[in-house]
Amino acid sequence: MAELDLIVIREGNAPERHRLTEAGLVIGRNPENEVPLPYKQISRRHARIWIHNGVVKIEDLESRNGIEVNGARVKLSVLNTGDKIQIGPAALQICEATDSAFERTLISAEHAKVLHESILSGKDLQRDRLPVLYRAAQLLGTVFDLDDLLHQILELTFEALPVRRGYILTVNGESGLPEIRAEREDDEVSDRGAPVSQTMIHHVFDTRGSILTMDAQDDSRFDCADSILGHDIHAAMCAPLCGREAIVGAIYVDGDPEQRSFAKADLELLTAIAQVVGVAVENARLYQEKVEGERLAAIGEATAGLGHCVKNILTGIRGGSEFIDMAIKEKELRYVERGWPIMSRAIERIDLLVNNMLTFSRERVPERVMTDLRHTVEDVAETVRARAEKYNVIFTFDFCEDNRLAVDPREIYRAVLNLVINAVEACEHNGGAITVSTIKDENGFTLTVRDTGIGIPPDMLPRLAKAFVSSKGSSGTGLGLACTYKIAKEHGGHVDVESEVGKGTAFTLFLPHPETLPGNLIGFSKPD
Amino acid sequence: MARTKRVLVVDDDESARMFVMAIMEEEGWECDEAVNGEEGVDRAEANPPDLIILDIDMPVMDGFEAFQRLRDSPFTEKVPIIMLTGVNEDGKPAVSAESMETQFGFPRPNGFVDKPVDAVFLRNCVMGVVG
Repeated sequence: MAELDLIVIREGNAPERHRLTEAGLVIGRNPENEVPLPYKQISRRHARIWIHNGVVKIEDLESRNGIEVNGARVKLSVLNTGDKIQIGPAALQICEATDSAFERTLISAEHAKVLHESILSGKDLQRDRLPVLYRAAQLLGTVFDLDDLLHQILELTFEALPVRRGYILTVNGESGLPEIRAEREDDEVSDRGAPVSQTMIHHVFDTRGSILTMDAQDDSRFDCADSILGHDIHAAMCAPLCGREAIVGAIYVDGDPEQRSFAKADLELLTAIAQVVGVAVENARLYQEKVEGERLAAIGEATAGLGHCVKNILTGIRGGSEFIDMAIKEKELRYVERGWPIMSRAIERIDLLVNNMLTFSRERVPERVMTDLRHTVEDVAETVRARAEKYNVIFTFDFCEDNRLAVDPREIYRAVLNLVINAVEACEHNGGAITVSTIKDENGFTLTVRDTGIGIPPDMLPRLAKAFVSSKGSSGTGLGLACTYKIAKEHGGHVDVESEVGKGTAFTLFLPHPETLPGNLIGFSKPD
Repeated sequence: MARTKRVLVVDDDESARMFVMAIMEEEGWECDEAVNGEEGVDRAEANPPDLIILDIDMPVMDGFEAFQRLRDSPFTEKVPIIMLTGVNEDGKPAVSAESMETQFGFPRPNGFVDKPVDAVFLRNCVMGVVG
């Protein structure tokens, strides 16, 4: 039966070989041990390794800091050649015994390379770990797109760990299965096909724990599953992304078999990164659910609001047509005179509603044309004149000298129309006055519509820009003002409001000079 | 010649208001209008009409509160009131005279008309209420 040696690698020392015996080698801080290791984190009698019938075993002698075999903490374990044993800062390995001085040197050098790197990486990582986690946490606070975040986390993992392939998987909300959400492969391994070891992923999902394997192909935990052999996976790590209740994904990395393997500290770092990512993935999911819920609620609100408005307008159309029917039946023109204003007004309302819906529903870049906004205001006043007169609402204008500005004239007409209609409606039942004034200065153009109407309750003021918010009950859709705000924003401007219940309201539409705006807000310019 | 009777139409929806007023004008009524319960109560108290047609679902002050105030006011307690009521999804009126009495403990209004308003039904209801 071939004899076996225990190789002990310590930083700053030449590798040591100890022949394994039935009696065993005791490893510990005590200098009388067969394998003395003078480190304070190693217990006096730390561990014992022995061979019996060709089987090597290691036993923890109730040490304080324990022993690790291939990254896993063990109390008693069978050892195979090539297994990596870590006791404190020392790395140990079992290999075939040799008495040839040449071979001893050769093997020692090989093992020393692997094990030394393992030790050194562990030490380096402990030093670098906090900055890496700090950077990961920083990413959480600064990158809001989940895919972008996961890619950056993966980049960070590649910087911090000796990794050749890395993948972040998240659980698909519908299928419940993990899917690759972010990936990075070094160029030379990119042609190796589907990369992630399903066996390891399943293991992590089943046990909810991180896993490190020095050589997955030999690791009994994986039973040489196809996915491990198929992907040529040697050293690999996988850590779960834990949400508050369930595992929301996993981060998986593997290393180059030619290079050094992973250390326990690597796994700890990956696990810590995974915890950060787990929180981010869960938050993103919760946010998505919230957005989806809000979207559905908004659709419901919009549908109900529009339905109500259309139903009211239909009342007008139906009522008007009833009179027109009577006019036809009785050949009496006076019934048309009764019915037509109702129908005509209903048509006006539906026209406004549909145009506001269209304005609201699409993102527009203003098609700017040099426009005299005085004409726009006068056109709007003419449109609502009949209604204003009917309700004893008086218009006054206070125009500045130059009212020209490059705007999208149709959109600005709509924005002003909505403001003026609101002003008329606010005065409709007790009469009142509406003043439209303009100011042009080096900042831009300011148009104010001030009325002496009923005013807007203070609790409504912060919500005016929101669609389907109206203080006008059945007669309002809550789209008019929302459109005005939107049009102002598309022109790089804004709307301000001041209001007092019972006294009146002033809406101010500010439109900056296009040349002062960033490119995306200028829109198209047409010649005068 | 008899004095022209005056009706106050209280409804926040312009189309509904216009239509009801057109029907009433056609019947020879003089019309006044208000867009919510509060304005309706103010106008009715300031100048009590011969009839009030009152919608229920309105901003600022709804029809129930307006109804109660009109009944409590010495100026309007005797003015007949016809309430306009929406229709539920099952096609039944959202509020009836019975439900107002049992559910809200209100005295009954003089008449009820479902929305959308049917001209013939409204005319008949007005005839029934004011003769």
